Amino acid sequence: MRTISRNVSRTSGFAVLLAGILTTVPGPASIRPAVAQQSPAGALAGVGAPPDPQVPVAWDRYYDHETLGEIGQQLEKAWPDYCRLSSIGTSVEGRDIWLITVTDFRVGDPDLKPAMWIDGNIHANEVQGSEIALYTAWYLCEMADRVEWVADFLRDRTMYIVPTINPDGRDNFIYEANTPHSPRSGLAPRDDDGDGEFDEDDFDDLDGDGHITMMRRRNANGRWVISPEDPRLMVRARPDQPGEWELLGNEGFDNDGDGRVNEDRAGYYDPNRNWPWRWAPGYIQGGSDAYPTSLPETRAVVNFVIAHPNIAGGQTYHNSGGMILRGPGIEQDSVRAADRQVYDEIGSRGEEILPGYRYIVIWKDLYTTWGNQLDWFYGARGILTFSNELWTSFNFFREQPESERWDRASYRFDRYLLFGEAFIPWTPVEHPQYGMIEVGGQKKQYTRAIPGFLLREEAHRNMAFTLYQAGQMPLARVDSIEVRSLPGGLSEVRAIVSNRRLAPTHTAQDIEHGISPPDRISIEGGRVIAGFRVVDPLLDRAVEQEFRPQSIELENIAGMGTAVVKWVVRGSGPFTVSVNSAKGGLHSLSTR
Amino acid sequence: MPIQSRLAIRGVLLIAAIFLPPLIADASIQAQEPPPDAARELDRLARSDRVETLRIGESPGGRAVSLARISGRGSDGARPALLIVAGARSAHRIGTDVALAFIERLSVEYGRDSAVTALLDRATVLVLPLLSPDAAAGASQRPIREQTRNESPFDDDRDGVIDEDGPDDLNGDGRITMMRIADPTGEWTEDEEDPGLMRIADPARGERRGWRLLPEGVDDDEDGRWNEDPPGGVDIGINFSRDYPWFAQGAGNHPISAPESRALAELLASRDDIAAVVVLGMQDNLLSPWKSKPGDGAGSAGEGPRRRLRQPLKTVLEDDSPWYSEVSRRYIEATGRSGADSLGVEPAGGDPMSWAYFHMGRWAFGSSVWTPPASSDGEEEADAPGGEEVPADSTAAADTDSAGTRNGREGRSSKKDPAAAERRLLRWIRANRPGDFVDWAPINHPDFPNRRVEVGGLVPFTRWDPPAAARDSLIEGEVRFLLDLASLLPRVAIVEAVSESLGDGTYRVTAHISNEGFLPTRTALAEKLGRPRAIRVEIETSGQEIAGGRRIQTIEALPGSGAATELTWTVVGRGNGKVTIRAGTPSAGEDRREVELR
Repeated sequence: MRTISRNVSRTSGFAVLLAGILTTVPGPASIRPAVAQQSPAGALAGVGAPPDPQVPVAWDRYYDHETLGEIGQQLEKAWPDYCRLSSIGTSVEGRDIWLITVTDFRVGDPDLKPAMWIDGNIHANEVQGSEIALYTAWYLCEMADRVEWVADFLRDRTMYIVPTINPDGRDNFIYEANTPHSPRSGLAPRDDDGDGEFDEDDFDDLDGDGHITMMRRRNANGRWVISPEDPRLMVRARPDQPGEWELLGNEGFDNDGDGRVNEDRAGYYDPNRNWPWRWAPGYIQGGSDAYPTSLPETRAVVNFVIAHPNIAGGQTYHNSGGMILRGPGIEQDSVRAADRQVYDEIGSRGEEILPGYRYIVIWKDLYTTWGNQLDWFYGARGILTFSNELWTSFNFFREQPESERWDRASYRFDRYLLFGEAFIPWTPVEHPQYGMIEVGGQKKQYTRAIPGFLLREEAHRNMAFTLYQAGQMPLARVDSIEVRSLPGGLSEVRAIVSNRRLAPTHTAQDIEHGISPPDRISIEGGRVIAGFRVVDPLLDRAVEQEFRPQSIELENIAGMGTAVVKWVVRGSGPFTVSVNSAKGGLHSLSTR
Repeated sequence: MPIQSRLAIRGVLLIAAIFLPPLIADASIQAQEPPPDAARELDRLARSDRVETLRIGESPGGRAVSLARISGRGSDGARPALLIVAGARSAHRIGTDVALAFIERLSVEYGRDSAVTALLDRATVLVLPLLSPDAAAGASQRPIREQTRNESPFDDDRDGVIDEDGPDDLNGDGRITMMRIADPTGEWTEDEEDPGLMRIADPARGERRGWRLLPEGVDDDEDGRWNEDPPGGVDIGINFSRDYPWFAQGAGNHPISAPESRALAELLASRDDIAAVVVLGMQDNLLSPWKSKPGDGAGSAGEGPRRRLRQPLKTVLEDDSPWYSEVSRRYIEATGRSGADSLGVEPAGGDPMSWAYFHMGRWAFGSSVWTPPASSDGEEEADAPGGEEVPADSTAAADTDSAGTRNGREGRSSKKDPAAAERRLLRWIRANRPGDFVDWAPINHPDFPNRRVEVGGLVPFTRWDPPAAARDSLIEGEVRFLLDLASLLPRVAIVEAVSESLGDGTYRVTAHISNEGFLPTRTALAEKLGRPRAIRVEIETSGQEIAGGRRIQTIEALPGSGAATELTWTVVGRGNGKVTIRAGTPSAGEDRREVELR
């Protein structure tokens, strides 16, 4: 109850939910009924949702850093076989960077199973990535005993889920006055305006409503008028028409007396330009900060990923725009042809799973970004990684709005579906420098964050896409072993090793740079005289591996591919052949 | 074999050891002395009132990365700083010697020598004498090898075992050189002019292959590869982000991954007062100053000084280049070194010198202190501070002039025949330090029982350690340059500040803000980067109002030698009869002037 009561002050709604768990959930012995209930009492369960979740979570809101950790704790408590909560490091302000590891802990070593990395919220204002990541952990745990696919998946795979890799920025977005676009940064103090002072001229919440909206001032010589379509919307006066208002930017004043407004806010850098691959200094890539991995949050992720060579897939959630992004972020970089094929296959499936989303390439279809996170995952670690830009204006009315009408659609959506809740009406306030002005506009959780009633669907669809990718990570198996007698009491042991998944055990980028260890096929049960890679199984053309022949090294096992190895062995068995693939996992098979 | 392919890619022949920094060797008598214990020496120097040492980081081996701060009166922040960095690579021991000698000179001469006193009262000197203490410690152990890495464990060959196959001293001479294995599949051949020199054979020239060339050692882990997972992790000399050599041996997992490089990165990131950086090491831009290339950095986006470039710069910005040329001229004057030196200088890439300019925007200079004189042209060789005579060998003397045209491949310049420079180096070593080349001699190698195996080649440190007799004069030359450079730092001054009455209690105040130093207040690149900061100018009033001009404003940069810019304000009301103008930036100091309103 201690953590719960701490929670009450901040998110009372959630506290009620958690309190509910504690009072209604029976003891550990009965947490997992012998026969999984298909429906909760008094209801018919809908498909695609746990009918009676052990950890009820409301998926229509955005949780602060502490609550994300508490939900992780609850999951670990309710599903100890499937979920563990830990921390991969701390943020600038000392918050833990929560890691939720989801796998079947009863089977194998989680760090040796092919793993998928999922994170969100690197940009502080792009909050929903955390909920989508957390939903994934929740869904997998709650469904592991109910859906066979999930049970199989968790036996073979590990999910490293980090709901937020910018916890400081997240809490700033939630608790401080912000726009939908602020802050993008984390909270390491930076002297944005070069005056020797740090973060001294941030926004100011002039009307005290917790949102940073726009400022306007009535001015007969202004160039703006109120839109005839919606009285909340300001539009430019026609060139030959007089205006009535001037727009004065986001709420704030000149705090430091330098003649500029809001020019040195908390932060400011772009955490998604701080990654070592193709990092570029500020005169090329703004916001990249002083040097690659200068931020502790970047370092925590980099060190974790380097220490976990089993990570074979990545997803880093952003918002918004309905995109399934892959690298590279710059024109000068490239994704290798063989890897592009795998990306294309997964990406185009994603377009089906995620209506309104487009599978596109960052530099070509979006904009140039040096030193972004997913390029480091792919370029430096050889990990196929997507970044989904969550939420799309397509979802306003389930059609793609013409781009110039986009904000109109958001106003209409607000009027007809949100009943005006998402906007703050223009309100007069006294500005210390501008005199009487009005402030008003969108709330911070509108247009980029997903409206509450749509969040769960977006979470489920994005999870489904990410699980499709995770399911297609390599899976190395010893398919068969054949033993044949050779003269002189020797045996030939021949094994077929397969990877029945779309992705190879080594991406072309990985092979090119020797990033992951080779796959090793080893034999036990006899003294190995010689070992071979069978390069042409039909004609049995083999190449001897001179050194360490008991452990044949393979550069790669292709997606939906096989490899054949053989040994000349003294002894007649039984033999055990094992495959050890950093990204394809471990598997063994024995002869009788 | 990664080692061989690396050579092949460069298309360079040569003694392989030269391109295997961890494995180059030292055997000359003086070079077998243990390297100076920089930490102890720094402790001794820190007893001076002028010197303070700061622990700015710790190596994976638990050794301090120490920074010495030397200053006179006044405090940091209000004046520029000069940073000297040495010891990124253990082989460059002379750099650490220079750095320590510079600290000593400053601390001893403060209060005695007026120039040093003035300098330390106006600027802070920061010296980081040993950036990679682990590597230096490793280099003092036997067998002697150029340990370039820190002590972080690293699985170079990805076999799950760490640091299990380093070099081994096979001939028992206490140092690691190279070994060659007679093998028809080997790519290497003996140079026809100097059979001691190994180079990759070119069958198109009728050259017969016949040797494999590997660092001296056995296949400790029996994986068919030799010395492929040596002790240690990151070579700090190639761990910086500008042109970082991704996936190279010793480069680490990513730029600025090591605590040592991060300590230096944090130092520059957190101290805008550091106006200039000198790296004593394996890169040079003082003998051969950086030149801008027309068109580099073109295709920029946006307008104004802060406009972004579309891709990384290959060369120094045109606006910065004259200063690099002038500082180079002064360096050559101070040290008497030849401007033609180049052998013994490593190409930039992941190095701290080019990083300090291209990624941190500082004036950044690199000195190799010494290179073997064999690399100079004949005439300059005699003047080289290395001091040795050119061997009285007519072939050598002629060769030093036109090696490429005399070596049997007529018409090829020495640039096109990289072996030529190596031949000259080897000839110089044979003439001056006969002990520093181990003649190839057969050994019994357990991994090649049926093959002829010979150990030999350059001994560690030879290419980087100057002759004992030349050390003092080399150090003196570098110190002379560093003292000169410290006097060239930018210095903001308000040289003129006047008021003029416009009548009725209204005044026009005019100030000339100038840079009284030599170097510009920041590089043109720093203007684009926004770091170090622009000059901030503020007018303080008491009872007056500023009707024209800005209370707080910035000047992007001022070139040196008294270049000034004029600022004016219109002040309404007499107030207390004066206003105060402040101007400054950490990298160039600050100034303050009161102006009587009249």
